[in-house]
Amino acid sequence: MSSPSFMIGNSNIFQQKIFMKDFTPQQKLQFSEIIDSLGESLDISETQYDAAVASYQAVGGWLSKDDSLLKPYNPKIIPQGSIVIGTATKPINEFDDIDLDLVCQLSSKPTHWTQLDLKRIVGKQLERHKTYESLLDEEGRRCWTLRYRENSKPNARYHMDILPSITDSNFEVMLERAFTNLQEATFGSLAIRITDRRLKNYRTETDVYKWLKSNPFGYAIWFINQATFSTELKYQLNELLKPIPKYQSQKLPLQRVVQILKRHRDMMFRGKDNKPISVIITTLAGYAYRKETDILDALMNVVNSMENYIEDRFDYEKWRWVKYVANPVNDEENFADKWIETPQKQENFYNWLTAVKRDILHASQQRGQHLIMESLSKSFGDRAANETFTRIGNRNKILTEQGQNRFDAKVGLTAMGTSIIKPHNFFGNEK
Amino acid sequence: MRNKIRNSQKKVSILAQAALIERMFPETQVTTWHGQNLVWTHTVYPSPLGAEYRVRLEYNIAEKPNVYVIDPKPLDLPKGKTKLEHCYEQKTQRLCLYYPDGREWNRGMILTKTIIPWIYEWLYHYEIWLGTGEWTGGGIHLKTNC
Repeated sequence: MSSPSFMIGNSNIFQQKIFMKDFTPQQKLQFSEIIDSLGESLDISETQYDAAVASYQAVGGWLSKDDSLLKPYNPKIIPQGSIVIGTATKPINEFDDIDLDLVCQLSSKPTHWTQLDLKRIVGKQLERHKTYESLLDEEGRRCWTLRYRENSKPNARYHMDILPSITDSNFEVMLERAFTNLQEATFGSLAIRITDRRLKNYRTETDVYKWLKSNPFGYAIWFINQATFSTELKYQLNELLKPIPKYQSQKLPLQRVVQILKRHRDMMFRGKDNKPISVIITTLAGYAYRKETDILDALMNVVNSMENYIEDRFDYEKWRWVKYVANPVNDEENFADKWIETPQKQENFYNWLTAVKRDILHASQQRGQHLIMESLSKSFGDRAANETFTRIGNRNKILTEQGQNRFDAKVGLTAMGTSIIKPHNFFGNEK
Repeated sequence: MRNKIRNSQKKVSILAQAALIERMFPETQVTTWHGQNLVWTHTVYPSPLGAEYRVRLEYNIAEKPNVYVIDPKPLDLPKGKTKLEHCYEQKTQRLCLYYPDGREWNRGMILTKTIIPWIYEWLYHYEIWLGTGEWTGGGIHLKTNC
């Protein structure tokens, strides 16, 4: 029998590519519309977005108010992660928490502060708020977590990760500039310094340049540059730096693809441990994406080639080959570093990738929109599948009403059809 | 008003209707009787990824065209529903495709430009309805029989 690590190491040999080569152009167009609508159904709504912004701003207001312990160090709360790069998804169940990743950045600190001191003072200021104190979760490795709730708004439920950090004093100006111009050259200057309880120097090191480096904002710029085409209007990354950031409903194909992949992961690993983490999925999708304008083309390319960006690198500390998903803005960071200690995580990733391909292929092979919906329900959730087809049906009805719906005698309703469907009203009830 | 619209239209003859159907669907045959009736049976895919349905169109020049889904029979229903939407007769699966005031359909109109595309559209929305339980095809429901 072969050892587990041997099997994992070779599992990707059996990865197969999927193609939809039997599709006619009309079928491909229709399936692409379904996938696009699916992505739209997974996106957080404008109401959810606005509520999330209001909630993190409330926390930000508490941390930076005049009598805050942090006030002398110019604290700011800035969102990071999926809400910034436009890949946030609704939770599977309507009343589950939405994940919200926040950076709490101070622009300076007393020279004697260690990582522990920074972490503690942010925690202390959160605890001074009676409600927040009761919402605080067990202390995380790098973050404080608030299980944020507002009694007046039953849907405002967030899992808020607050990351204490130190930045340069002119950081805000640099960030604003970088988010506006999306200049990759400025990656390095956007790095922030963070605390990590598991590091040996956590309680001793006072020099921030010897603290752990993280670059969530450089990453955001990288992702948006991967997602956008030079000819189009850029996704407004700087929107979230504004006092009242606006919801952006139009999403780029790569953003939709990531939303679809993340939801598939959420469904497959519901209630299970060691699920593939979002940053690995998002990064590999970003590497694999080739600026396809059609979402189905993008999705097919990404699922077929994302594993090619998992490198094999030799780890000199462990003295063995390891899987490596490089952080695009910090090559020294391996997003898959936990695969080394927990091989199940690596195995789950490859199993998930196989499953997502199999499930997309299965949906594409159904004939009958109800059967496609049933297939998508299983892999993306009932609510999302339902919304996907209700939206498609409503759009189709409006097209007919406007005298713009088309049909083809051989293949039925399709935008590629040669004749227009005359507006009319389905009528009546049975006798 | 209704009669005025009807009478102002010239009739399209059964033979002309049949010829137009055969032109649009060269692989099928339309059966006609004495220039009064036509019957056309065809297998239809409502959309490129749609399922397959067998439908029959019967039209007597003196009456309204009747459209039936003959296979599958009975058509599946969504969970919790007991009858088809926009259907004159559940048993025969005769479809209600237009508002019968003489504007949407009258004898002056061509089947391949009206009734036939509407069959596809009905089946298109039927599939979505079967999946979601919500009819997205629009239309008018009256308390009275149609």
